[in-house]
Order: sequence, then C-alpha cells, then structure tokens
Amino acid sequence: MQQPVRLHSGEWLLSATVYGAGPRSLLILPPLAEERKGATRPIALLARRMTSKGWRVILFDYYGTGDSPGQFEEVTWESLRRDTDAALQLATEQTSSVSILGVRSGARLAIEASSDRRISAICLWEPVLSGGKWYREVKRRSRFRHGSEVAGNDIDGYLFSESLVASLEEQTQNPDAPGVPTLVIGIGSKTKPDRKLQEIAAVLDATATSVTMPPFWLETGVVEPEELLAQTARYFEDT
Amino acid sequence: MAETPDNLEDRIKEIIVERLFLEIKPAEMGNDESLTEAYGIDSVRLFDMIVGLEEDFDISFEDDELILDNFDTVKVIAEKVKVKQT
Repeated sequence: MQQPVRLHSGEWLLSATVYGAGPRSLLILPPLAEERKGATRPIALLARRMTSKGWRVILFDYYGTGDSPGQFEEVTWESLRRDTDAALQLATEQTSSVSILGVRSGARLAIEASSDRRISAICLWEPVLSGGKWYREVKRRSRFRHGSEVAGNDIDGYLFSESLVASLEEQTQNPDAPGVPTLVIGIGSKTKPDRKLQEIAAVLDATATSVTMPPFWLETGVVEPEELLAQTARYFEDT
Repeated sequence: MAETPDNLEDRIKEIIVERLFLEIKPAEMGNDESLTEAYGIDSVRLFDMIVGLEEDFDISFEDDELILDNFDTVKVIAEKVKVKQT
C-alpha cells in the first residue's frame, strides 16, 4: 500500500508518501541537492522491504525539493528542521515510537531530531556531520565535473541560499550523541569501518559497520544495494 | 619511508581499482592509459577517486588543480602526488 499525503510544514504542504501500515514507523530523511537523485532507488527499495515486514514508512520531499513546493534557493537549515519535525509528527501519528534513517546530509537532521522522546532508533547511511565540509566537497566536485569555477552558490543547478551555506558552515562542532541506539553504515570500497567512520561512530556513541558498494549518491547508473538494505532492515527489526 | 615511484604508482592503481570498483587487477592498468577512455569513468566518480587519493596520501589538491588532465592517467596522478608529498 502506498498513499500520497500532503504534509503540513509551516505554511506549506509538502509532498509525502506513506508506505504500508503497522505499529512500527520508519521515517526516512533523504540527502540534499544532487545526491538525492542517486539515493532514490535504495531508499525506495528499503521502503518496500520494511513495508513487507509490517512497518509503516514515511518518505517526503523537503520544502524546495522534489515534488514539494518552493525552490531550492529558498531552502534554509531552519526549513529543513521544520520539515523534519513535521514528518516526525506524521510518522508518530499511529505509533508511540519511530525509527529514523538519515541518508548523507539527512543524517545531521536525524541526529538533531533525536532529542524527541518518540525516536527509538537511528540508522545513518554514510553520514555527513560537517555541513561545511560537505558543501565545499560538492562545490569542488562540481568544479571538477564542469571544468570551470562554480558561479556563486549555484552547484549543478542547485542554488544554495546564503542562509543555508552559512548554517552548513557553522556545523563545525560535532553534534551531541543521540540518546538512542544508533548504527552508522559506511558505504564505499572499504570492507570494514575506516578511521573516519570510526571517529563518527565514537562521536555519536554509535555502532559502525561497512557495506562494500559504489557510493550510490554519486551514481547515475543502477547500484545493487542488497547488503545495505539487509543490514539496515536487520538493525531496525532487532532494535 | 619514502615510496619509490614504482610503489607509488602501484598504490595509486590500487586506489583507483578500489575506489572505482573496477573489475580488473591493479597490475593490469597501464601507466599511460586514459581512465576516462579505457574504463569509461565519468568525472563524478573520478572526483571520488581524487578524494580517495587525498585521504590515503594525506594530501590536498588546490581547486585550480582540479582539472581532468591532472587525473586522467596513473602517470600524471603519480606526478601530482609526488609534488604534494615533497
């Protein structure tokens, strides 16, 4: 079962989809900008898998992204936080607890939302903790891709607002550890958590594991995420 | 201990194969082969390999060095890395 819904966030109605039904809810916080495209398939496959296990899964587009209203240039960290809170509200409508999957830059939003007592577990796929570092990296990637200087904050057609860039750059401090069980999954060529992932896990007081597969958020082709889905589903089922 | 040029190039090949999930053995790569032409690697994935080089060798490339010609063969990558390591 797949039900499109309109999600109230401030004065906006965001595009959201509720998959399945059941006593356990999973809220998925997708990555931002170009990375969202490559994440579509693994996220959809995970939603389908969790639904088959009796979970209710909530997927949505932040304001200014996907099928939600607004333009990306209007996105601020505050609007992302507000949208996350709205989605969390929807996720908890039929249950007292909810698990969250944060993908890439969605990870920081998941961690910041984790003070909510209704959250019971978090899983993070290749989490981005430093927004500033991530922003500089996507900017460099864009420059390399196009062979020319990036014009202002327009990165691959995503115009980052000054406000959003400032908020990302302010993320120099690691976030507080979520007070709930947390799993971080590194994705890439490593067969076990590398030093960077271990440091993230230590900061978040989390368990770390790795899945060897191409970084799907960079891919334009099909990536088979079976092992990633299996580990994620197992974690949410067991936690 | 400083790496010999040969070792450096071998290590670069390992990083390329590993980061780009190429289904070949590192030793099969030629030093002058174009990564984009021989293996169909696009610029997005090639940039991921550059990040891998920065992490593995603890170096950093300047923005104006980020052009395809600087990273299209093992030979030119090795030259770039060597400069960064000195």
